[in-house]
Amino acid sequence: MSEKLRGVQKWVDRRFPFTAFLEKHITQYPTPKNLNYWWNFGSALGIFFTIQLVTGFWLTMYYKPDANLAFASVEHIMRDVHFGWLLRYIHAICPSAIFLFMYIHIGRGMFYGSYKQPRELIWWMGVAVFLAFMAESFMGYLLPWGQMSFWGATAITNLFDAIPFIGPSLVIWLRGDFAIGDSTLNRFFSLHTTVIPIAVIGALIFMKLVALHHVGSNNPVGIDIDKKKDAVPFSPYFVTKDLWFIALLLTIFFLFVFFDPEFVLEPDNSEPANPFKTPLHIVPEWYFLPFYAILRAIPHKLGGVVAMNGAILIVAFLPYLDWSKVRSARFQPVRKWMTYLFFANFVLLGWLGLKPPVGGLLLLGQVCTAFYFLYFVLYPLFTWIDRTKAEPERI
Amino acid sequence: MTMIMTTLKYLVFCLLFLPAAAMAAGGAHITHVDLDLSNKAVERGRKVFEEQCSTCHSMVFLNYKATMDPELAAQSFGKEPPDLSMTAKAKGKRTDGAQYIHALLTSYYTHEDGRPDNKVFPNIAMPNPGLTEEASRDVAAFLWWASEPSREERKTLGKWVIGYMVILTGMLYVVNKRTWKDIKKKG
Amino acid sequence: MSDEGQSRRDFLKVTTGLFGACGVGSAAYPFLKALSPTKDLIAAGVQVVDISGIKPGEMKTILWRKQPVFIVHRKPEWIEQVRKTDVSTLKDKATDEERVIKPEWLVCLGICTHLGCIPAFEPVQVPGTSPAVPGWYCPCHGGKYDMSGRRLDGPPPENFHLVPYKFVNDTQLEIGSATFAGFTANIRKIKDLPEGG
Repeated sequence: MSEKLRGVQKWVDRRFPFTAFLEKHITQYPTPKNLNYWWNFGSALGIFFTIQLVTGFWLTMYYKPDANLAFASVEHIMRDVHFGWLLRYIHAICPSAIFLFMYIHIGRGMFYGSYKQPRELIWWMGVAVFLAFMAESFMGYLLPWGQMSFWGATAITNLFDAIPFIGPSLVIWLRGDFAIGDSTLNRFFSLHTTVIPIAVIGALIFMKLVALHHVGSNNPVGIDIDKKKDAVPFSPYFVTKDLWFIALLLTIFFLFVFFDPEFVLEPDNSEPANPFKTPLHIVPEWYFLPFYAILRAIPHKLGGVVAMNGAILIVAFLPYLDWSKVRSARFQPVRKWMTYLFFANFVLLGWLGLKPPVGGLLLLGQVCTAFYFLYFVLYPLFTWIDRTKAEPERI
Repeated sequence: MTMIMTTLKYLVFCLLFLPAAAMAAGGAHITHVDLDLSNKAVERGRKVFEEQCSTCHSMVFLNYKATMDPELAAQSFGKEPPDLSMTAKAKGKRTDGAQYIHALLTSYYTHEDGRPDNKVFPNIAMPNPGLTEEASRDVAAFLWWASEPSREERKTLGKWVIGYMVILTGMLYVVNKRTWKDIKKKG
Repeated sequence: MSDEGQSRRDFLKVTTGLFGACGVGSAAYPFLKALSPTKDLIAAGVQVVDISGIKPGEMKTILWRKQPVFIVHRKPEWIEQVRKTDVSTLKDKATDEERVIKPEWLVCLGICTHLGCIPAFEPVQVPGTSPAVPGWYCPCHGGKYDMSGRRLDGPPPENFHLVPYKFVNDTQLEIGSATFAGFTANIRKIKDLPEGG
């Protein structure tokens, strides 16, 4: 039997670099042996994104992207489709997992200097993936056509109004109508299910992996490794490590899916969209909250939009803002603690995003926004002057 | 040790969002009661709905049509009686919606000038249906069930899935630990 | 690495692999099941039909699960004729008694068992039959059926398939059941129909 399989394998290998590819990129890929668990979130993202794609694809077999039918079609899925409720809840909760892992994944990159040469392109592609996921989840949220779907989309598309000259027309063009309506729903559905997941996210992730495998993985110490002495083949070591950790993440994920899906689902979205009734609190999904807080911290409409977008895009500049000689923050005490503070500040901004931006909370929001940007502005300074602890020779 | 630390940090990270999520709910001052949400209560509630509510209220997703003409109802009450399929879910997370419904049904009062009103929903268009405390609880249970009939199936299946995943995670953890044994020794 | 340690490690790997494979296989089930007919479609499988308006000699065709169902109020001479037929001459052997609940009513699927066309009702004579036999004639490839819906001639291999039904009262039929699929269930005798109507 294995003789036959080997024969088939040889036949394929002559015509397609199947075995060679598997060996180079999975079995033999030299991975630094000192990677810690912060490195597990890339593969976790891959698995959870696949889950999102599969459940999403399944949902398109029953969902109807029509303003008159959408809400009912979601209930049809919840009530009449066998295991429809499971598909829906997995698909609705997975974005929260994906964004959480993305923030951790980006945090790893920031802390360990994974953005530094020769990995700048990986970093920039990552920023693009993050933006794509924001667009993807924003559009996906309109699809159930609930109150929060409708009004959240109204609020965010209104932001484009702030752009000078072209703003108002741009909003109408984006929506395909003067207000969020059937035109908007249909095009969001189309983009959400075709171009963005496949062409944007899929292609970008593929390219990230190509680039990563070309330069090799970073590691907690940040030094370039000796591929022969300090690396182990990806399989079995990191296959088993990834598998067990992903199983753990899935267990926690399923706890939410099966026992508390409403942790991330807004009650207002169980009410069909009503253009004549605005909900009391328009709340974006939790993962947008830090940026939402930044948006509201600036009292000027265009200023807020610029600050919010700037907050996301400024991350792309890290390769040039970093003037240190070492990659990993482990060896730079000031940078290390500033980075911890940055992470805590980000969480605080998220909490502020839930609160009404008034009085003391508004002031706090502004302080946190200022710190957010100050971190990047001062980055060259504290990465350059920081007395670097000696890096080891080998990991 | 670092793995435990990572898990703990991760859990703390998750828990940071719990108060945020809890605060996001908000809502009117509802007195929570001990609601019976068993299948028996749901069935009693179904009878209450069919006999006393379905005249004016539809439940599209359960194929209940209101007997009264909706336009006539809108004229009589000032507002079209809303569909109740999703109400328990729309008014709160988890069982909060059921609590809301029960509280609303039992909060009717009359002003000094004789005008009827409701503590939970001021200036409510719906006249007092005059439900007993028990009927209010039962219909709240029925509406809660009706907002998501798959709840029970979900929880039953969930037990099996989590049970399986815990075992699988444990097994994979041991496999990983053993795979790395040699490397860790040399390290 | 001791031999015992190695085989212990292999055993764990194999067990874990099998356990994991079970999970993956089980995970596929909801996805596959989700594509099967939804609960509302299954519930719609039962239909009540008013037969009071069908006079003797008339046929009514209703749509059940998107399939045509013939409901024929048979004349006494038709009943007599089909009950006199020598069953051994039929390709798909069945007596008329085995195919109806009440003799005056024939209820069956109106789909030709050859390639699925809807045959035409011929209450006087099925073309090409002599002596004249009333029944159905399928225009697609010339299939012929008698007033019990039994295949007489032509390419069809079987009699009209049956659908579960019961008499609610003298004026109403309840056709179908929650799980019965219809034509593909391929049942031609009443006794073979599943329980529940």
